[in-house]
Amino acid sequence: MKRSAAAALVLVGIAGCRSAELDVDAGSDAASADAAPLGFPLEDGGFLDAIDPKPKGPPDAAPPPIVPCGADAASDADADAGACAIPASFCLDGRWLEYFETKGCVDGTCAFDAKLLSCKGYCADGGCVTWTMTAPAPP
Amino acid sequence: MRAAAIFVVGALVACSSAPSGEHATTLTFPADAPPNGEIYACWSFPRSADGWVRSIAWDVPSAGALNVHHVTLYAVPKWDKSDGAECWDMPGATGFAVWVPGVAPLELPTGMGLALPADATRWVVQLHAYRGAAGPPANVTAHVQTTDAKPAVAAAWAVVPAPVPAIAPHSSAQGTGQCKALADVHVGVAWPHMHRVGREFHGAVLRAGGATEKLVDVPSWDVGRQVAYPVSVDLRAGDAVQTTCVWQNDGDGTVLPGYLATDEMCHQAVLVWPAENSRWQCTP
Repeated sequence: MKRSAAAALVLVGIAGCRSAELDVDAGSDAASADAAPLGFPLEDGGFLDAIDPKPKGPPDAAPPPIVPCGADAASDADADAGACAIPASFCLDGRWLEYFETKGCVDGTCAFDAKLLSCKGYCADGGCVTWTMTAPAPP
Repeated sequence: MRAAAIFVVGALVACSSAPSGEHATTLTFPADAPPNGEIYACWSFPRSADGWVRSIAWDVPSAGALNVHHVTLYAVPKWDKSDGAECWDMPGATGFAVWVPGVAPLELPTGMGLALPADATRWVVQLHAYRGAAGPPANVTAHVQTTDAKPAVAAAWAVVPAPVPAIAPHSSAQGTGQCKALADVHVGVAWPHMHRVGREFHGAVLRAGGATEKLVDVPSWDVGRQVAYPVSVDLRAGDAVQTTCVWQNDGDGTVLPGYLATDEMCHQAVLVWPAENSRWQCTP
């Protein structure tokens, strides 16, 4: 019994770690549901930081770029079937990485899913900085 | 589930002998992962000797149904997790050696040692393993040689990471980072690290005067053969070590940065001396 319980704890822990990856609807209120439990937006250094020093939830995802495709594309290159090139990931702040997955060309515009990843380590220059061994010196 | 339980409650063995100031410590723990699963788990052992690390060797089961991705040996000031508990970040830990496929045992030259932090109370081994089919667990052992005698030269590991972007399907990406030396040091070993979609690794020295020199180049990355390369480079204060990783994601899904085998990482660990000069400023 004890063995099973212990194993379950380990497995639950691993699953929990991966839950830091979020699928958000960029630009919608749903994206900030966790971040704004009181119904108004949280901003870095804002009022709630002063009264609630607890770590915040994920920030609002930035909306994906609007890229025409298909017959609406501005150039032949844009019109290519693969023209909905996925935008590069970028850091929303020092922790959260925003990246995109494509849903293809929808009604003349490239459709992207915006997703957030909580970096292990920290976020910088469009990626997560992680390491093994000794932690690197801070910037 | 049964397999997972074994590694949580499996026996741990720590043996130590101490002839004339030399200490041989053996740290043994059970390695396992659930079928089609992956674990990051740690075991701790009392730090049985003061002094300096001279060498670290590993007994790790060869890849089969159970694959050991890496094992890292740390010394920590305190540790409150139970054996086999999940562990990812290692804040406050000092890394001493990592086993990965293809790496050789760490054996420092005569007269050199890695300093054990004075406040380190325990050894911690971090295991990253995954398996396909069900199978028996296996023991992993770290053999740690320490000495009480202060070596002529104290060495230390430093890590030069680079940011890992989300790597879109059927695309390539690159990440670059650097750490500037704040004091003169000698670099004796460079150990690059990426995961499965790594294609190229480039380590370089950026001289303060603007010149760039090769430190280590791995033009065709093989995650199954992660060599620690002997190098010999003197850095002056203001010089920097640069890490560049190139990835190629041929799959249909996005590869994300992270610790799992299916994630990606990018850094190089450099063994430098003297340890007291291992002071760095890293960007990004």
